[in-house]
Parts: sequence; structure tokens; C-alpha cells
Amino acid sequence: MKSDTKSDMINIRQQTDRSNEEYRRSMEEALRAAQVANDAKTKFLSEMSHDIRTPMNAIVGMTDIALNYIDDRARVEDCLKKIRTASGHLMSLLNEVLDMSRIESGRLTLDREEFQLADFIHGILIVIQPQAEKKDIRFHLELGEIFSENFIGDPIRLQQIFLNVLSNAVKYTESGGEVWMRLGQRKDGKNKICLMLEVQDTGIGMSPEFLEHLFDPFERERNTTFSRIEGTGLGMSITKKLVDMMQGDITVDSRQGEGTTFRIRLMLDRAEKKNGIKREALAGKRVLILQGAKEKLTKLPEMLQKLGMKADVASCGMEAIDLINEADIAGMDYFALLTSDRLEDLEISLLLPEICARKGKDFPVLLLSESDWSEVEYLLKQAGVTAFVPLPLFESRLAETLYSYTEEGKKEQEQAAGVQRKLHVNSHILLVEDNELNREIAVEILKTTGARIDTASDGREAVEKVTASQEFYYNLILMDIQMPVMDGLEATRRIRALKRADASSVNIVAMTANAFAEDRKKSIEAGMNAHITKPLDVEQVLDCLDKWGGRE
Amino acid sequence: MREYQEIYLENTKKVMELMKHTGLQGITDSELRQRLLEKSGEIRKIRRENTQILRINLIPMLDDILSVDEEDLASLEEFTDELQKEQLDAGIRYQVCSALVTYARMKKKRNLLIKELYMTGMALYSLQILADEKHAGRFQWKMRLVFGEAAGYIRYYDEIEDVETRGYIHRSMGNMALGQFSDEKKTAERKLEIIRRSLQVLTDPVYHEKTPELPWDVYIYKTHQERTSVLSYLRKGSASVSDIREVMESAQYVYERQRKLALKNNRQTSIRWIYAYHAAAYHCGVNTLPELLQNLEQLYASVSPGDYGLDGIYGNLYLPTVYSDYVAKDEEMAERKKPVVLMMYRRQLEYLKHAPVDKNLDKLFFYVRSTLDSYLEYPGENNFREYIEEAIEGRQPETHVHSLAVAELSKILLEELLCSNAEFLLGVLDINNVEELRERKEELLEFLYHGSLLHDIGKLKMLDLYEVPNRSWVAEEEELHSIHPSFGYEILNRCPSTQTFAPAALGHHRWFDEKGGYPEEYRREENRNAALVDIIAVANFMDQSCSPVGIYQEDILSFEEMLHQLKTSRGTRFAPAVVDAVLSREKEIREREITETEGTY
Repeated sequence: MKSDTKSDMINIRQQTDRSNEEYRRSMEEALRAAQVANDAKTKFLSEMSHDIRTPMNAIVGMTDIALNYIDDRARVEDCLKKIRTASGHLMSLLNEVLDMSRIESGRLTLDREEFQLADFIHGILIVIQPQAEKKDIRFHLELGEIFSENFIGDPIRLQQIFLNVLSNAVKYTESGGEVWMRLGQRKDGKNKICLMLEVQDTGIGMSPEFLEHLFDPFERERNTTFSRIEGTGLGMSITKKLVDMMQGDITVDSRQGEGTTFRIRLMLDRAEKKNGIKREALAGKRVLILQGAKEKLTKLPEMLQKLGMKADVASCGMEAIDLINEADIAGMDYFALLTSDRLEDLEISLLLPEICARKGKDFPVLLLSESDWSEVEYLLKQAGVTAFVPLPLFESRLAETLYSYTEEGKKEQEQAAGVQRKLHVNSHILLVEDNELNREIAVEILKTTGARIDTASDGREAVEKVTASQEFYYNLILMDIQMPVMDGLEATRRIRALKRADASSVNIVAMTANAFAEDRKKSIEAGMNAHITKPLDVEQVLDCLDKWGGRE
Repeated sequence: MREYQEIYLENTKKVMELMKHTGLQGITDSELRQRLLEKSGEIRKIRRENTQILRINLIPMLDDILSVDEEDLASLEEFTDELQKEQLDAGIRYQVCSALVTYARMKKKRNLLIKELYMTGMALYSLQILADEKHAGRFQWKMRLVFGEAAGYIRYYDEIEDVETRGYIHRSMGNMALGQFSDEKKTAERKLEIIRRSLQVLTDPVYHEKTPELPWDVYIYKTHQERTSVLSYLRKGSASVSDIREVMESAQYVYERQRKLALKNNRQTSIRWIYAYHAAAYHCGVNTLPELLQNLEQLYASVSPGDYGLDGIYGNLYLPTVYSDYVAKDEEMAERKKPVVLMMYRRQLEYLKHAPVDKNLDKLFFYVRSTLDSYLEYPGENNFREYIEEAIEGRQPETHVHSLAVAELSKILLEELLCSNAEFLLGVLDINNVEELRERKEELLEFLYHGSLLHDIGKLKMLDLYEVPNRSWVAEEEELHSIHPSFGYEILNRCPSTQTFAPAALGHHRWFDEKGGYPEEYRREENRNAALVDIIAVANFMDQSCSPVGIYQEDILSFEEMLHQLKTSRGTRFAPAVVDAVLSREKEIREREITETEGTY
């Protein structure tokens, strides 16, 4: 429902003392506005149902085909792949509609969690850069002054804003064009930072008429030169609303045939600096920087200098070899190697093993890369890469990574760690889950750790099992949220309220499909310790068990 | 040494003996072929045996190097020491020494590590020297890395008491400057820097005192010698005065030492050192190009045209090569000195023609090969192609016989294609209709003949790789071998008379569909004579895989097996039309093969 129209009408009713003529005119205007809004909504609904039906048809159709050819492995596989694609599309469609409806009804709240700008920007780049490369669009990232790298906010929603604007820039720019992403910060008081994003493209631009409606929900322009526009037409209005919620603003300049520039300003809270690293541990240490063919690590020496470190820069592999040789002869050891992932003169995956063999396995080799390294991670780790540092570079992230390889840093890590996969033969876990299939999956995963697992199929049964058990019998309760008879939240509240010694100490972890911030908040309020998302992921479940399932 | 090592070495020496060809002057091509045939079976047999010996005795040890015992370890060391002493088998040396490096690292045996790093570096040096700077890549940087690591142990000098190990540290430090380098300012300056530091250590009395047993003057001399190789960079004009002085000092040092050595032994200073000194003077800017050329002319005039001793060979064969190289630097100079260059080339040919049977053949061939990179052609006056075919190509008997066979097979295939599928040839030599193709058959045949003779010319630049076929190649050698088409291309592309044949060298190992083979730089569509290169590629494969003269493969294929491979690679590796031509003439080709096979065992 478009709330502006509603309040307009209420206002109008209060204006009974005005002249009839005036009243009639405003009445007509309001009616027209309401009609326009309503028309747009009707149009949207009909288009939406079509948009939803298309992938749904594919899913139903493909499922039928798969069932008919159940013994033909290749055929079934093909069907399943198509079903996965259609489901993915359907899912994003529904997510956007849901988002919009939550925003419209004022039910969307922003999460507040700590995040690092380095990971955040890297996460954006690995999505956008391949999109740009695929279309042969030159993508430039320009970073202004950075005052703070650690923030408290909702990184998922922030990413949604960034990706929406950037994907549009790429989508509406033709091959050979350019897209700039400029990011800057401004201090606003002691604890706040105004994050400024500017996204400029050389794309097709927008008509003045369309610009007027750009942020309206339920509006989308189909009559562009790009014949079929994917998506719901909700992206920009969701972006606008999210920006509003973050006390920010969004403006746009656009000319048809010339390009578009979006400017977004957002207020973010600075996270308190972690007690973090001891700079003196880094001071005086010398690192070797190996420049790549593509990424020029120009800012790196300066950053290292700020940390009190020394840096030698090699512009190619051969020069790096010379520097390592020289250092050895001079009796001076490098603390670490910071390297790009591709060199001009020689193959890095051949060079690194040789260097590692020579310097020993404790020698940190940090790979700086702006691309998604999940693809090459295995190979490069084999070649001797110790850790990855995301590009663009951010100072405190770099410092933290380097620090973790100093004697001091290593000690701290050892104290904090123990992350190795443990066996939990003495652990007792209560798994509360109404869906039989999900229960089976969870049991399968948990069984591998040697823990003993009891199950309950709803909240009430769970409370009964806990009540009937010996005190401190269960280490961990994995609790579904939505269940018949009694839901997980209620069950948690009741368990916490039980009059037994372990009522407040037993670990309860929520298993929930929706990762919305407010749901998480509710589960914490009900007394849960943490939550893991569904569908259950092996690593996640085991991590959870390591963290919460141990016996003190 | 272990028994298998002794057998292997003995076998290797046998192969070297078999590869020494004597009394080949003046014999016909078919006699030559017969001579090779008499030995090729034996060579292949030894080759197989040696490969098997290594497979059974050596490779498993390398695969599991950490569990070898002291005795095995000693035997491996002895083996590579022996090979290194004989300057043999760089590929195997590299494999074994790098395994020993791994062993020494893991077991924390410092002295062994330093020695084996040095040995690995030396093996890499032998490998990389075969290629040029552009292609040596991997060997080059690894070599620098291992020598550098060994040199780095100078910081533990006092802890390391073993004299020999200390020697390896000094040698490695000097050897960091080894290798191919471009004339680029940065690279050359690095090289000078490394040499400077090495000389500093080598001339430091503290080290002499610590280890008086080491041959310091040899180290110093070799380092000076290495420094003179930076000469060509100096001439480019961007070197600093101090760099120039240093290099000049080294040239002086080398010359003086050689002069004294000659005096002591009561003979004349070898002209190679006199030449080096003149060259240094020019490169350092002391002399101008005309002055240098005049000096070289005088030097050349002092050499007797009938001297087939080492100095005579150097003067008569190598001086013309460097002379024309300098002349070519300046167009005007090239024109002015034309009569001198042409006279030198004519005398080179005369000299080669009258060379006494079997004396210093290796050296003779070594210097005449150097012409390949610097021959100066004056169109209408002299002809590089004729020069190669007359003076160089025939001197490597195996390549020569193979090339002749390729030429013969190509001829048969061309004749067949002209009859049955002339359309395939449209476009070659810019001929665009079938009648003209048939009319100008002789021209086509001539192209194929010379293209075939020259297609493997790149191998002559890496002769060391082919000279001792005592076992299968290791990966590093295979990698080097795959450079020969590119080398061939570079050699042929330099002069007008050979330029047209350059693609035959570049393309004869590249697949027809360009999805395999090497090098990737060869593009069929960029070569207007691609169809002719397709023919040479097929003929090359046929002769290589089943010629009984071949010695570079463990087994020769039967004619049937070869045909089968041709058929299965039709359209991928080989042009379909050419494969079809082979099948149409199968009988004739087979009969030819059978008559040629007589005498094998």
C-alpha cells in the first residue's frame, strides 16, 4: 500500500472548511494519485504472477520429465540443473518482493554487527569485476581517504545497496564502456563515519521522465534498447528505502546516451578498535613485495612504512630472486613475502614452491589478489601461499594479517584457537526438529563426531526430554524455530525457566532458515546462545558443535 | 659408484663414440644414409637399455629420496660428480641434484645442501645455455635462485670449516652472474652489481687467509671473464663511466693473463684474446667502429688460410662471423664493407672445402654454426640459403639424412595432390588456379625441397641436446627440444633468400587444427604457403616415426602403425588432404621404405 496516498486522503477529509471547489480539486488529484498507484500495483501484480509462474512452470515441468526418465542419469542431472537455475531465479524474485513488503509495512530492521571494510569491498569486487569483464567494460575503483575500516552496521543490506547500483551500471553500459566506483569517507563526530559511494557509468542513461519515477515501487521501464530487463523493477526502490533507513541519501544524474552517476551517502557507526595488534611487534621488520602484471601495489610500501616496517619492491620475479639472494648474503632475513597473483616474467605457481622450499614452511607468503581466490585457493596453497589478503588494500587489515605471523601474534592466536576439529564422544546433544528429512541430515552430520544424539520432533517434546534428563546431561540443544505444538522460542523460554541447575547454562542454538536480523534478535531474547542457518552446512554444524557442544 | 651407474656411463661413452662420424667427406647422400643405418640400431639399443637402467635403479630412489641410506646417497653424489666432470647429461644431473637438495634440506645437512645447490645450478646452466634469453626462462631464474641460496651461506662462513664447501659458496656467488641476459640497462646493471660484489669477496684478503687452499686466482679470472660478456650493453650508450671502466679493466685483466700464459708456454697469444681485447676497446668507447673493423681486418689478415689448428679455425671461421655482425650494425658501413664481407664468406667456403679429414671437426662445426645468427646477405651477391645448404646443414648427418627423406616424401605427396586434389594447394606461391599450379610444378617442388632441407635448422643451434642420444629425454630436455621450430624460424627469417622457408621451420610440429603441437605462434591462416607446410609436417612425422636411421626415439614404428596414427590424426594433427595423398600412394611409399630399411638390425 502506498502510504503517501493514504495520508493525503486523511488530510483532505480534515479540510472540510475549505471551499468546495478547492476540496473537489484536491479530491480529484488524490483520487487520480490513488488510481495511478493502484494501477501500477495491479500491473505489477499481474506481471509478477507471470514472472513467478515462468520459473515455477520450469520447475514443475522439469520435475515431471525427471520422474519419467528416472533411470537416465544424464537426463535427470540435466533436469535437476535446470530446476536449480529456475529455483534460484524464483528465490531472488521472492526475496525482493518480500523485502519490499517488509519495508512497506515497516517490518524491516537493520542488523547491527561488526564488519571490516576490506572484506566488504573485496566481496563487492569479486561479484562486479567478472560481470564487467564479461561485457568488456573497464571497471575502475578509486579509493579516497579512509578513516575507519571497522564498522557496526548491516553488511548484508549494505552489500545489497552497493551491488544493486553497481550491477545496474554494468547492465546498462554497452561493451567497451567504463564504470567507476569511487568510495570515500567523512568523519562525522567521534563515532560516526559518512560513507560516500559514487558510481558512474558511460551507459545508455535514463530519460527525464523515467528519472522521476526511478525510486517508485511497482514501476519499471521496459521500453529501453535493452529489450528484456531481468528483475522485478523493485531494486531501485528497495535501494532507496534501505539508504533512507541508514540515515543516508541517494541522488542520481543521468543523460540519455551519455551515462548515469549515482551518489549515495550513508551513516555508519565506527566499531571500537579491537585491542588488536601490538605495533612494536611489526616495527623494523622487512618484507619483500612482488609486483604483479596487473595489480600495481603502489600503496603498499607507504602503508608498511606507516606500520614501521621496511619494504623492498621487486617489479618482477627475477628481481625478487635477486633481492632474496642479496638479503641472504647480507645476512638479513625477510619477515614475509607479499605477492601479486600473476607476474610479468614468470609463473608464480612455479616460483613460490621454490621460495618456500628455501625459506622454510614458517615463512609467510601472503597473496594479494583482487579476484575471487576460492577457485585457485587449493592450487596456490599447495604452491606455498600461507594466506590471502583482499585487494583493495586496507591498512588495519594488512597490519592484522602481518601481525598474526609475528611471535606475539602467533602466541595470541594459539591461546585463542584450538579450532581443530574435535571429537565429542562425551557430548550429549538434543536435536529438536519437526521435519523428518532435516532431522536425518542433522543426525548424519553430528554422528561423525562421536557425540550421542537424542531427538525431539517439537518444542513440547524437547522440554519433556530435558526435564526427564539428569542435570547437566545435555551439552547442546539444537532447536528449530518453527514447529507445530510448541515453537522453538517458547520451548527455549520454558527450558530456561525450569527449576534445575543447568537451566540457564545449557547451550541452545537455533536452527533457522531465515537469517533475518530481527529473528535472530528474537531467539537471543528467548534465551538462545547462537544460531545457525538452514539448510544445514556440515562445516557450520561442526563448528557450532566445537564451540557450544564441549563439556566444560 | 654402483654397477648400474658404471654400465650407464660406459653405454654413454659408447654412444658418444658411435656418434663420432669419421670419413664422411665426399661421400654421397645414400652412402651417408647407409653409414648412419649401420649404427642407428646399436644406438637405439643402448638408448633403450640406459633408459631402462635409470628407470629401475635411479628413478625410484629419486621418488623416495628421503629414505635413501648413506651408501645410496654417496653413490648418487659420486654419479653426478662423474657426470659433471665429463660435462655430460645435464638433464639427469638436474634431476638427481635437485632431489639431493631436497634431501639435504630435510635432513639439515648444510654442507651437502651447499654442494648440491651448486651442482643443481651447474646443471641448469648447461640446460639454459642451449636456449636463448627469450626461451631459457625457467632454467634461468631457477639457476639464479639456487646459486643465490648457496652463496647466502657466506654468513655462516666461519661455522663451515670444510674447504670444499667454502669453495662452493664462492663459486656460487660468482655464478649468480651467469646466464643469458638482455642488453637492457637494468639487467646488465644487475649483472655488474653481482660481479662487483663477488669480486669484492674474492679479493678480500680476510677470506684468502681463512681458506688459503682455494684457487683464488682461478675464481678471480673467471669472474673477470664473465664481466666482459656485458660488453654489448655498454655500446648502447646508457652505461655509466664507472661501469665502462670496470668492464674494460676485466677485459685488460683477461688479455694480460692470456698473454703471460702464452709467453710462459713460448707461443703466441691466441687471436681470440686479441679479438676480445679489440672488441672491449670498441664497446667501452675507446675505439670507433671503423677502428674496430680495421683491427679485425688486420687480425684476419694475420691468420693463415691453411691453418686448421684451433687458432686457425677461429680466425678463418669465427672472425668473419663477428666481423659481419659488427658491419651490420651500420647500414652505410655494411655497404662500404661489402667487398670485404663477401671475400670473407668466399674464403670461409674454400676453407671448409679443403678442411683435412677428421681434424678438429667439432670446433669447425661449432664456429661455422655461429654464422647462422649473423650471416649478412647482400641480395644478388651472396645467398644465405645456398650457404646453409652448402656449408652447414650437411654437417649434422642425422638431421641431413632426415631432411632429405622429408624432401623425397614431400615430393611424392605433392605430385599426388597435384593430380587428385590440386584445390588443396590453391593460394600457395600466390597461384590461384589449378592449371597454373600444375604448370608451375617445378617451382612447388623446389619450395618443398628447400623447405624440407631447412625445416630442422633450429636444431643446429642446440646441438648439445642431440649429440649424445644416450637415453630418453627428461621433461626439461623435451621442453628445450620444442624450441627448435622457433629457432629455425628466427634463423631463416633474417635473410631474404631464406625468409619464405621460415614458416616451414615454425609450423612443422604444429597441428593442422592448431589445437596441439608447438609453437603456438604458428598460425596457418597467416601463412600463404600453409598447404606446403602441411605436406612437410606429414612427411616429417612419417620419416621421424619409422625411419630406421632415427636415433631420437626408443622404438621406431612399423609402417602400419605409422599409417594408423596418420589416419587417426587426420583432420586434427594433420591436414586431411595430405593424409589422403599418403593413402593413395601407400604402395609406392611402402616400397620405398622397404628398400631403405635394408641393413638395419
